[in-house]
Amino acid sequence: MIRFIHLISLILLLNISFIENVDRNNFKTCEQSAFCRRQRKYKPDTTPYEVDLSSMKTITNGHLQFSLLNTLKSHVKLQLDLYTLQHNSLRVKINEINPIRKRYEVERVLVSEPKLVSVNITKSDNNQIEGRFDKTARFILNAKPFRLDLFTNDIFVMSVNSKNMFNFEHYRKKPASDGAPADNNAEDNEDGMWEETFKSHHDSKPHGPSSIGIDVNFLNFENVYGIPEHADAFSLRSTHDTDPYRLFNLDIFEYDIKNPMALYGAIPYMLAHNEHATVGFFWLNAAEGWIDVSNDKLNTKNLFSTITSFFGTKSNENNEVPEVTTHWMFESGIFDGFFFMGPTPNDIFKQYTALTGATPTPPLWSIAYHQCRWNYNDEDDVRGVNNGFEQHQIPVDVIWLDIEHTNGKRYFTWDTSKFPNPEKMQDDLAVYGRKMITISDPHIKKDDGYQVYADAKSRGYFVKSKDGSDYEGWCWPGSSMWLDYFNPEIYKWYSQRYSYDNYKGSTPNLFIWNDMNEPSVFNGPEVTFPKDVVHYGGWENRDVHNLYGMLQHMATFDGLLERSNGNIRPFILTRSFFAGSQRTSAVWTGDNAAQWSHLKIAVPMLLSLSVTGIGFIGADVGGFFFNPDAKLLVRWYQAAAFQPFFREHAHIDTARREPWLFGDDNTRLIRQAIEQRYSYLPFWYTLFYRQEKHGVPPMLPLWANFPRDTNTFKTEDSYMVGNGLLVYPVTEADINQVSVYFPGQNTVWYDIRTFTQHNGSETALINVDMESIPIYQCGGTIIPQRLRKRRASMLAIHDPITLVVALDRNHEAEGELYLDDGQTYDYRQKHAFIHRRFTFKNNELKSISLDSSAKFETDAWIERIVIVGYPKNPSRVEINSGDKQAIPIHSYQDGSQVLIIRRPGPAVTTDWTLTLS
Amino acid sequence: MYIPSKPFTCLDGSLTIPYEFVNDDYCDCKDGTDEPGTSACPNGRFFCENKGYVGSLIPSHFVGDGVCDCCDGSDEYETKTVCNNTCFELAQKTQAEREAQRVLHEAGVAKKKEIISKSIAIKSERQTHIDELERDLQSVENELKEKEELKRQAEIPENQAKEKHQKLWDEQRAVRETIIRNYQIRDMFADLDTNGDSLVSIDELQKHTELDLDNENEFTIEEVRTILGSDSVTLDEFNTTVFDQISNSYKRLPKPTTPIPEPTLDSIATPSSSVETSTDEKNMESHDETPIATSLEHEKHIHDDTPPEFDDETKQLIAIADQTRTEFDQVQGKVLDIKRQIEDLKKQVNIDVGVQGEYSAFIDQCFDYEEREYTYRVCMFKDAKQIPKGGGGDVAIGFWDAWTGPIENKYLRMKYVNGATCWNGPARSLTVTFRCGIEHKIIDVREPSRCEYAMIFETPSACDEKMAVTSSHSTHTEF
Repeated sequence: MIRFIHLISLILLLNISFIENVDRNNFKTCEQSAFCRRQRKYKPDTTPYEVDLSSMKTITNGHLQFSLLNTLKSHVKLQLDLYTLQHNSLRVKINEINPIRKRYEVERVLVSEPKLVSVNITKSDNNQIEGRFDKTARFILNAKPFRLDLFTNDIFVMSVNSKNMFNFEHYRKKPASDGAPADNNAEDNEDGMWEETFKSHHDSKPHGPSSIGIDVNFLNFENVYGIPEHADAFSLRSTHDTDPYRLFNLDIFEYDIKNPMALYGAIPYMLAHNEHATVGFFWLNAAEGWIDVSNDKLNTKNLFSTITSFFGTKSNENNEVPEVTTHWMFESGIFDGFFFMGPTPNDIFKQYTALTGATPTPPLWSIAYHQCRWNYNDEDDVRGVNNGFEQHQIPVDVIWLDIEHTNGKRYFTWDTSKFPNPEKMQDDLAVYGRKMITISDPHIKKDDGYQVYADAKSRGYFVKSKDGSDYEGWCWPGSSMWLDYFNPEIYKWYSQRYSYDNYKGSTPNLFIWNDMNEPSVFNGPEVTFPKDVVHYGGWENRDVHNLYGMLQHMATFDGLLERSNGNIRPFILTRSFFAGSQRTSAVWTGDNAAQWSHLKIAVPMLLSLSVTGIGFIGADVGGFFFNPDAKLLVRWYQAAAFQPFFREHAHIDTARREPWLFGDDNTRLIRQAIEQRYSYLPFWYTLFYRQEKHGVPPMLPLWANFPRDTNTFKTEDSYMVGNGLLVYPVTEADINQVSVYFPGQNTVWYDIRTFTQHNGSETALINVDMESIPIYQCGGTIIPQRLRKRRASMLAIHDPITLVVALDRNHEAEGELYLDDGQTYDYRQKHAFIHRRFTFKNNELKSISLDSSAKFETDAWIERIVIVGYPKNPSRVEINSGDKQAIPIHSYQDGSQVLIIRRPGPAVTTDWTLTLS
Repeated sequence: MYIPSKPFTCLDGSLTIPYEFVNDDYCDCKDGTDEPGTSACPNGRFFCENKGYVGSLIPSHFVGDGVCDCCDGSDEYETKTVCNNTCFELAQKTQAEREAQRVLHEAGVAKKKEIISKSIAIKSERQTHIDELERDLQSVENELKEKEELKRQAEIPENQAKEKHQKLWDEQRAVRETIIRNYQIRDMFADLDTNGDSLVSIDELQKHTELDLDNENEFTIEEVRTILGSDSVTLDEFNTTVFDQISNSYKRLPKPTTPIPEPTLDSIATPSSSVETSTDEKNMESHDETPIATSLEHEKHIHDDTPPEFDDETKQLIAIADQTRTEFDQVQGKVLDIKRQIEDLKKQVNIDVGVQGEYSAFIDQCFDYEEREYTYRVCMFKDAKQIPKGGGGDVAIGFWDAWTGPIENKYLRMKYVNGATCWNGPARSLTVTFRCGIEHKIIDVREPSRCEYAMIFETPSACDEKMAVTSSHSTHTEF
């Protein structure tokens, strides 16, 4: 949410000159980042690295250890640890043995120490070790040259260092100032190894070079995904003619789309998918990273003549198979790679989230509609907005306050002239079941009169400059400092700022938004911390940069959790993130713009986050910068109503854009979109629960549900909500037709409004007008809905349910419903939930409980069952629940084959069977 | 409509259902009319009886949602939510508010009436004034025509005399220029004619290398001959063919000889050089006896290039004409002044000050509002400003645009637009919303959207006669 107007005036006022303009030149290219420059050009014909197989040690079953040598630098000794893990996963660590400085190993990301599984060494000779483990995984470690090949179901899927790009820059002594290299090695004094300057910023690099590069190659794959955050295609593009994809958390002002520049968050995790397998590679590293992607052909004849059968398909006449080669470069840390062997998309989701955690079921209200603006000016304004929703009968669950609500950007305070009674304001919203969210950024205003600053200052809690003094930079409040969350004591202290005592004016209905946490430092290099600032434990920002934002929002989460003694689920929205952020926070795509291209790019951006574990995600409706016209705004509402996190937000310089300000017709269209979101909340909530349990994100690429449909591998104009809804948002201004591809063989799809049927594996031209949100329910699924309207989601938790049973070609379907109180941890601690499975087969629809220990008291009942694709009007409909029997009324429409059962009546908590005859 | 034992037809006529389906917590009618008592229909209406207060229709999705919407709590009859019956208090409160409003409007309307009657008076005064002015204008315009004729007549002899004077002066200047040229020719010729044979020859001219226009090579004989046109030229030939070619580049060579004295008028008037035989010279001399010679005595006229004074006769003619002009200008000034007055008055008459002129008191009035950082000033029907208290320039937040209130009464809101443009934002604008008050007073100024200002303004002009009437009707009748 960068505001350069203010920034510029600030700069002018204070006569600081650091940014001439807010364009790409403020951010480094690979060529301007010395380690990337060195690593990118490292492409030897053969690798100097060899594994010393004689050194192999079995530490425990599942953990093998080797020496890894550089034949060109005999003094550099590396250690390779290989761990066979649960969930078809392999971990490989490479670190220096006895380095002159310890290398940073990332903390706070893995949920726990990964569990080992035993490895079955199936081959061991003087140059190769082959091992099999878990369900389908196999590795071959080649000693000379060093290479690692990976197989799933005996299909060759990944290969490490097969392009010889593994290059480990060991820590070394700084060459003497006369230029004579300390190690008598000219390579130790390459350009940019010991210092570098970008614009006016000098990076002192006191520890010298420490980067690592490695190639990881996906054999017989043509599509790789992930490594967010970039405003780019879902299927990653070749970086042959561009910079590599960059991972370095930055606050980019008015970001451009379709390029590999770094954005606010970083997840060094890439997936590859083809019709045989889905695999993944995750390098746990929080330093600045760059990743080259290249779509190549691999000649299998020369290299792999003995193992071509392992590709699952035959190579072409030229003995070539496609291959995506990727080159990963990080500035420091160790190599800590996780290889996920799938082989299915759902396996991959499980495997990654088993390590880094899954998004816990969020509070129900947080997946409803959010109304935000920079800024709602005062209590009257908030009340007015709330009344606007009431008056126009548009549901809303949360109203947000941006930075202007504070006393001069001192977080945990209020501008009391505008917000004299924040508790009452929150209580007034709570009457309608609504919540409030306030912003809390990590920059702490330098002001001795500000309690948070004064306390932190006296305790020495701020991040340090390289000379040991408190680091000072500029952000919204002017001169500011940043807390060092890496220190557990500071982390805890920060989380305690959220107690009701410390955060005056906060109530149980107040939740938190952490913004600017890359962190954004207006006068820092690339608008963030200098790399040589020092964190707890002596680590440089260089080592830990990409973790900073996550630590802030984790601490915020802990604070909100403690505030309720562990009873109420916190909600946090963060802009910066890292692998693991999904455990505690929702994420949005930052400062987008009111442009059709930004509406369109939201889908690939959200899919990239989804498949890399960050499932609770959204883009600002309408676009943050600039003013959307009514058409764009309506289309954005329609799209975002079917994306996980649904929030309208706008820059302070934009015109007001509450849903009722664009004329009655547009108000009605926006209302409809929001109402549709609310009607599907039981489905969304069930999907979020499924994510907690299985790691499957609610928003999915088509290939996640149709892994063998090659037409879907590059799809980014449409996506799935769970396995039930295919969503094709309209993202173009003047269009009256869209071309929708229906995935899957022998599938059938039903328009959710008209129940018109479409066949799978076909592309249909669909006419659209402003009412249209092209959405289709997949035949074979049962989706729970609440068709009753409420002004907020929490007021509907006991409302009756409608089941929409969409039959497949065999006239079967299944689905689930998860329900709980929507806000507490009682679902975990007291099993206070309902989790049911519905199956339709042989003219019977059954509801059974998936967890017999679960118990949640609710009046909710089944008010309507809609069966679509049912071939004829049944003569009799009967429902049995225990010893009770009923014959509900039904109606049938021949044309659309829709059977509606009126008031079937059973409580959602009971088992029942509906029989059609 | 809802008759037990009879089938129910949705009010939109779309469906007929058994009576048991009415209020059975299932929505059958598209228009929601079968479920007036439950939340089953998303578009239904629920009737709150609100005994002791006013019955009201609320959206049926408010029923059973845990929020007390009816003052009698009837919308939450089936839920655990306990709603206090607040109808009595609400009725009292509403009554009190209504009475307070009535009192306010009553007082306001009284003032408003004053404004309106004043407005009528002012309006008729203005009209009278306009009529007077228009009569004045008529007579002054007639006078202007007379003055214009007098001016025209006086300017005829004046212009003739002036023309004559000018003509003489032009001739005199032509003579003077010829004299100077001739002198220069003679001087240059004498300078060039170093051997004094009254001919300028090639070798004499060749010394003047500054005349060589292509500086590349020497000043060759051929080049010199090209300039002279022959091997040597006489003064006459020099005058006709050579002088104009070289006069711009020509420089006098440094000479040990006595410098030629500056020409004086006498030396020009009484030429003594050998070229005095030239015809031009003779012609000129023949004019010596003419009145020009008199003028030539005034040396400064020649040197200053300033025309000589008019003769007395001309001066007198000019004085007469000046007098008529002055008189004309005075009368024309009067005409313009009257026209401006009429225009201003008409502008005021044309300002839309409400159906009855209730906003007429705003004409030419400005109002201020003091806020923490700024003073906001609106000058009615003109412009609005934001004046920073901490110094710095005023910012225009808009210029008078139009009344923009709702269709029922557009005079409840006015708009000022096209103020100073915001950085990265729109041009500033201001919306003034009026509500009834005893005096003209700005109550609040806000900026709900960047650079879109909203002002609330209390004024008797916005008070409503209908609101001022004591309502003997029961409040029920209004619903």
